[in-house]
Amino acid sequence: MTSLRCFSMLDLLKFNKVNLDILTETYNVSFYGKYLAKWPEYCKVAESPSGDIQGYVLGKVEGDKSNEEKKNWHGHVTAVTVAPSYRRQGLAKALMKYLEDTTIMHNGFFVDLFVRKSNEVAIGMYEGMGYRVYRTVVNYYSQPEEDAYDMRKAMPRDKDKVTLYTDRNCISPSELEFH
Amino acid sequence: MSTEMTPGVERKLRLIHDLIESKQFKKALKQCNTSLKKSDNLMLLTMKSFVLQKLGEEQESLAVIEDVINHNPTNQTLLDLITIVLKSLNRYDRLNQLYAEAFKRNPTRESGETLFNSYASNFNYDEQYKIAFQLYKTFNDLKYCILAVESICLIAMHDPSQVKLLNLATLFFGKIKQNKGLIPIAELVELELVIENLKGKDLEVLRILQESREVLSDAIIREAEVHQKLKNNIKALSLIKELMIKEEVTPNLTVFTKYVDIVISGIQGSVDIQAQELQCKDLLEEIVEEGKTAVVIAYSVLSTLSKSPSSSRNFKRTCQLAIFHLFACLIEKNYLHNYTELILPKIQEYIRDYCDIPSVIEDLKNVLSILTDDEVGKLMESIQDFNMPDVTGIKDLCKVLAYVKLAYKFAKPLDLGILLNLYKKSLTLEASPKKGEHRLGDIIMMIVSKHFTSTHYVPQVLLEHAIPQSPYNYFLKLQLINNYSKTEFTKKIIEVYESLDIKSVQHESLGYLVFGELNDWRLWKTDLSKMSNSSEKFHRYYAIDLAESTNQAYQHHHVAQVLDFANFKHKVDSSLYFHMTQISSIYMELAKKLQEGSYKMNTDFIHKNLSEFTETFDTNVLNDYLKIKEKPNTREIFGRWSNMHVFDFERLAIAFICEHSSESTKTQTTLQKMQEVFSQMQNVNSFYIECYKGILDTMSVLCVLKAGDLENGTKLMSNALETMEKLKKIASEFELFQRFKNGQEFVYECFMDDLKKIAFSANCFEPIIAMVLNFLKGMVPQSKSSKKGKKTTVDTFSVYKGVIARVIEMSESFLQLLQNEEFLRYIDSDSKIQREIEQIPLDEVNKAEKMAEIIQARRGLIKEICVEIHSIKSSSSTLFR
Repeated sequence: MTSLRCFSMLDLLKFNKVNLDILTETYNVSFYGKYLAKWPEYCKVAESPSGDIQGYVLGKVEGDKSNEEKKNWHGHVTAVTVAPSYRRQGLAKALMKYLEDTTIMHNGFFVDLFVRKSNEVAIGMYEGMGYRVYRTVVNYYSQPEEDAYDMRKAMPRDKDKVTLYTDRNCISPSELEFH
Repeated sequence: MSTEMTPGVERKLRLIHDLIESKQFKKALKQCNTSLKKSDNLMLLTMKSFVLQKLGEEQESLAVIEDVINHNPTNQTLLDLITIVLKSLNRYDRLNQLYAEAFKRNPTRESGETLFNSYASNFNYDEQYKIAFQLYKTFNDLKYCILAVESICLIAMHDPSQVKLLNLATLFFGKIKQNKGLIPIAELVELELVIENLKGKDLEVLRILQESREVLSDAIIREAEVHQKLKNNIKALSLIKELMIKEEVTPNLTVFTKYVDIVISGIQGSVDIQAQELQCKDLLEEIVEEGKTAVVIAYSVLSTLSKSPSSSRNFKRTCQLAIFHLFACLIEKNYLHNYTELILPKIQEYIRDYCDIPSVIEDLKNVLSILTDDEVGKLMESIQDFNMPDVTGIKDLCKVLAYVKLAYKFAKPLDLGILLNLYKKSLTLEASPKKGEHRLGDIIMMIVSKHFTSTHYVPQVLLEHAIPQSPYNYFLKLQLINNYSKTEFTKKIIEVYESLDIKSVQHESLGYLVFGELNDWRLWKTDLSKMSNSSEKFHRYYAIDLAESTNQAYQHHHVAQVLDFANFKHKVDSSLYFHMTQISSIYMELAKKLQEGSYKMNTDFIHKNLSEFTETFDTNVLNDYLKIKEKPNTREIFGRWSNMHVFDFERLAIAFICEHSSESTKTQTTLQKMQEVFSQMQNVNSFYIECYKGILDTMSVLCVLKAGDLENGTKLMSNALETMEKLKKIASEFELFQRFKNGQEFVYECFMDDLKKIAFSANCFEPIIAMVLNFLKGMVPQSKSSKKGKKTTVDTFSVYKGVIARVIEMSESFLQLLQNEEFLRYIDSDSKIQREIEQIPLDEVNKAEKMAEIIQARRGLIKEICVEIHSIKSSSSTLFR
């Protein structure tokens, strides 16, 4: 059985079962520190009764909150990962659901995320959760260089789902408004 | 000194900056010195301090920056630069002092905020509160009032005796609350909750939470927690139940856990009261009844949800796990009896329904641990059909693996041949894992590596075999490291550790895998020195990152995070001290000897000659070495000492010789001094100095010849060649001996000549023979089983193919060695044995008998080995036919 709880800096010392996975990036302390300092409500850990970290989500909220015209106030999924031995149990879905709920609480228009174009498994999972490809960001990733899909899911504030459509299906990383 | 940024100064600073960016620190230092001669500028001097820090010259860097500070700088750009230097030197205390002085001289908002951030970075709550309050008073700005309230909360959290200050916090908070928009509403609510929580006013907390359901996403769960704390479990339960039913389709896992926790705490409450034997029976009964009611409600809700046709498979599974968790807790607390009939069928059902999920057995960890042997027997029996001989699909494989895991959980080991067959089958059934995926069959290798440890080679070879089949399974690698460490294969441990792509904070939490080996570390283990450097780098920079994050947390008014960061710092700093202790302990051994005076003469000698060494970095290595004697400040020397190995001495010497080689008049003196130094240093690390003395000799010859002294050069050359030859032999023997001593790594690599060298040089024939025999015996059971005609044997061997090939290769060489007359003569006339026998007070006849006995024993061992080798060869001939 799993509990979702707040991500703590101390989790950095025990998240190896998740982060040794080749698909999960380990960043500098400043990276995690920034997320926890600025958007703690967007950072959650899935933990087993024995204290094992099974997965986690890191995210943020950004944009112009009150600008109805721009409609860019949104939640962003920076990292969502589940340890290999706890996959296929709906944990990633639960973590994403949590992040979406938090975005709804912040009254965001949508939730977005970037995923490697080649990561078909993840893309399939996100599509299953209601995300759709909004646009392609050319050469967004390095090592190896690859395009990213910018995927989005509209939140209740965007009743007409207008934030899911764009005239430009392909952009360069420098054109991104938020990183 | 000037702080003026003239175009000339700016150009020079840019040049130095570029050199720093390209990590050319020595050139940057040279540029700083040259520029300072021409222009007496504080910016340049600060830059010099920064470069010195980068070069590891921390004391000198600090002295230079102190010189800059003494000029009382007020220029903000310069102050920013000083800040960078002091932060990189990890001198936040000095930074605080500097900012305090600057604020005193010039009490502006900017200087005050900088001082606040500086105290905050240092987790100095008292001082940060004082400055926040002073800023509030001076500028009448409520944003400082928020900082003051947060600081008070941190003081109270840290020191409960300061709880009275919270009344002041409430007063300030009232003012903040009146000014809407000052901070986001969610943060305002959180801050109020922190204050009331610290005051212990639960009802007030409850009120705030009830009013903030729209603002806080987890308000209801938190409300339930408060009710739980107030022992109002039924109320807590009803809140959670409401949430749980509402979220049936996509379960919030926390809700489930909380639900069960509340039920358990209800039961726990009644048990506690029972234990206290309260007089008030009515109350006791009421609480016990409440607990019972809670269990009944919980069980009924969870059972209904787990069977609801509209629920997803994962949701049903989560309900099942919640029920198990509930049972486990109740049984553990001795509150539920005669549960076998109830619980066993549920466990069986769970394993059958979810055996395709890799964590199926781990999921049941808690409930399985409370079963008795009889119950386990019944459980195993009930899923006996999982242990099927024929696995034709992934579904079958999952079932069998669940059985295997359960069997090993209850220490019922299976036959190795069956396991390996199953593993082989899994390789054919499963497709190659995609990036990040693990093979289902990997669990077999994990089990084998943990349970078949009579010889460590079996698991090692199997894991080595399994990793390329499942390259993304890091558990296999971790297990292999664990296994290598039992046989002390240090180099291989490092090899696997490096393949794990360990970064940043992971060095802190996984470093133990290699740092444990530091206990055996001597100065020559450069790989470990590299590891140690990565860790040290993390420790050096994480504090700076964390200080930055703490300031960000204040900016966003996240008090809880500040405390979280402080806990993290405390934990990592403790770990750093532990790490330092590990590394330093080796050097402290040396220091102890120095204090005892055994190396006194040497260090005095080295100290006297230090001025001769002009290479800054390398001189520091020696300086550090001497510091140990004077003042064993481990923190100060930690970084550079982890770099310290004899290689540095070699570089030092070569650099020194090369520098002076063209000056023929100085050559002889130089060489003489060098040789004196190194001969004195032999006592520090005799073997390596010996080795490098040989290299130095050769270098000296080259220098002498280069300087045109042919006669002397030829003479020296002759000596050097002789020394080199001698040292070459020692070095090669030593390396092998070390390999032997550290583990049986030679099994992978050795060949006959090496073996001979080990045997001759190490003078430890018996242990080597015993080791080889042990290794061979570890291989033999499989070869013997082939004789019995078991069908599985060939498959088993195919997994073992690698090791068998190595064994045959080695055994061929070994047989040759055993048939080598020279070797046999050595065995029969081992001088060490003879010397030992000489010392025994026996008459000549008895001595001869004793000698014969030893020889016979040795010959017996050889015979035994020959039999084993022949046995392996005959069994394996089938395999390689």
